[in-house]
Amino acid sequence: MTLASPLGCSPDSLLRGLLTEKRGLSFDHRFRGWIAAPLGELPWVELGLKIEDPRETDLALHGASRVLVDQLNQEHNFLTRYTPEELGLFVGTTTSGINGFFRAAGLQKINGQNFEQLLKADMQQAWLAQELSDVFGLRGPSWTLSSSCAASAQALGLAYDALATGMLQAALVVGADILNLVTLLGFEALQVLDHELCRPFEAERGGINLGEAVVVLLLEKAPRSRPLNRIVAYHALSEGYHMTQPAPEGRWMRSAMEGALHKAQLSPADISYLNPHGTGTEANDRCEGQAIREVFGEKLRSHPSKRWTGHTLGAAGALEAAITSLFLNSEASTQAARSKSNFGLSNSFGFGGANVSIVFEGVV
Amino acid sequence: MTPLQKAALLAFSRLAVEQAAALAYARLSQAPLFFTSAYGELSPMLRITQSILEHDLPISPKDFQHSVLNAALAYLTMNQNWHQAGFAFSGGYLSADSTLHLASHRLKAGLDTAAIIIHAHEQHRRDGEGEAEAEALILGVETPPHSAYCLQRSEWLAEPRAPGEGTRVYRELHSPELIPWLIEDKGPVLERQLINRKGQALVTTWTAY
Repeated sequence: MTLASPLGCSPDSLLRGLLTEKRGLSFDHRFRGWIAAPLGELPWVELGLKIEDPRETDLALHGASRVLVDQLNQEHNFLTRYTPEELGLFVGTTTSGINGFFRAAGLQKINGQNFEQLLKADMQQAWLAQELSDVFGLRGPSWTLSSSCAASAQALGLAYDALATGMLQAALVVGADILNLVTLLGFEALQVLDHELCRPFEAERGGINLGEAVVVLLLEKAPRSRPLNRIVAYHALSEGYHMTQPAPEGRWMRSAMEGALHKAQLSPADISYLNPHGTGTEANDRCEGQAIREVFGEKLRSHPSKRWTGHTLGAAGALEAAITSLFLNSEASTQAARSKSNFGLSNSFGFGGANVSIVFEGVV
Repeated sequence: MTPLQKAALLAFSRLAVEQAAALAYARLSQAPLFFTSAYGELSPMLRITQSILEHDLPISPKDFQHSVLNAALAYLTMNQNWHQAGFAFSGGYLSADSTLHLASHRLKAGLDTAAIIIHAHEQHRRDGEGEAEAEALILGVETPPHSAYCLQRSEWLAEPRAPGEGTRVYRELHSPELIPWLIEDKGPVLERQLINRKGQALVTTWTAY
């Protein structure tokens, strides 16, 4: 895996940051003229990229994704090891192509032109996948999932299925969302942003801190080197309840976790690490907390990593899959695994009730 | 509801009337819903972006929650009390066909026994009002008795290839182009090849009974 998160540009820095409880969130960010709440920004300088205008989101998204796919290929040579038909691309994002939309909206306002005439490929969420395919010569199948905050968790699930069924030999899963005005002002309008540092699952929690991340994961059917971990199973479902609120008592959140455990043929006691969706909003944490207690009892402590990274939206599923992997392979987990199983579970619950729970096994 | 959401719901309702038995089978067999749209929710996105451009803040919370690509899918699952997995795709010019390709592969591999595809597209008129269309179809492992068409093959091509006789070719041009519908004249085109602006291509072949 390669990644960039508010806690640094490597898996090591992410794990180190989380273990030392370092906050990747700051009030001094590039959108401070628009939003007073803290945000989790990528360390752009460390990535070797410079953002001239915070509104040029797609440029930043393109640059970061390109760097990280290239870096992963240098480590694993997947571009040469697999034929185009064997390697698929699965992108999870919510706002890729947002600048294309702003350009079209601006032109429509100025010219009064029919909006239909302004539709361009660069204003679709699929734009990033098309660009990456173009830059890296990926000629195999590609899909872009955009189910809100469950986007890259769904991408990971479908990629896992594609490998399990032999459709593909390998899959590149990219979870990517960069902070932009639509997202920031949208969540502000919903009044769910915490204007202090967020406190998921705490009684005094006040909402979400938003963040940004780009995560690139390589899934292989027959890995050349020892993998970090493996996906055991996942379960996706629709709440069919409300656009922004979870069903009472976390009924469908519980179903997602139980479904994933059932498919993995595991019992709740087998899970040693749990990364909840844990946004910090009153409703999510109340419902998810209840669902977790009902499935796992009081013993298993969840690790709400958004407290340190912020909520990275469409990238969150992939970022938290990476975090789950890192924790299952960390020294503490490795020691624990000597006496018990080394399985972790990650939850992603998106707008509109798109729920996904994924079970991972650390390969110790 | 937005035009896209209404269109998706209407297409699904049509399916419920015209293919009630197949839909009951899909529900029973826990079929996933695959929603696909090239541009997603144009109307709320346009209002939000123009609001921001005009510094007319704050933006509407309702528009924001309607602007996500899976909003139509979400309202559909609420309206239909549907709790199976729902996946929302943006695939550009290949939106509908690439989703069909994935769904059919999953069926052939035995992951699903049925799948529902909803493909929706919004157009935007000069007066600022949006209007949308959507189509819905059910795929099944065993061809349901109501079905008049069977998907034989779908293939993702690294390069476009010379089309065979009878193959209809759709090519994404640089000018705005409507995404081709899966169902035309009440059925799918028996063989078609779609080519996007990057030269990626997909071929699908159907058989009519």
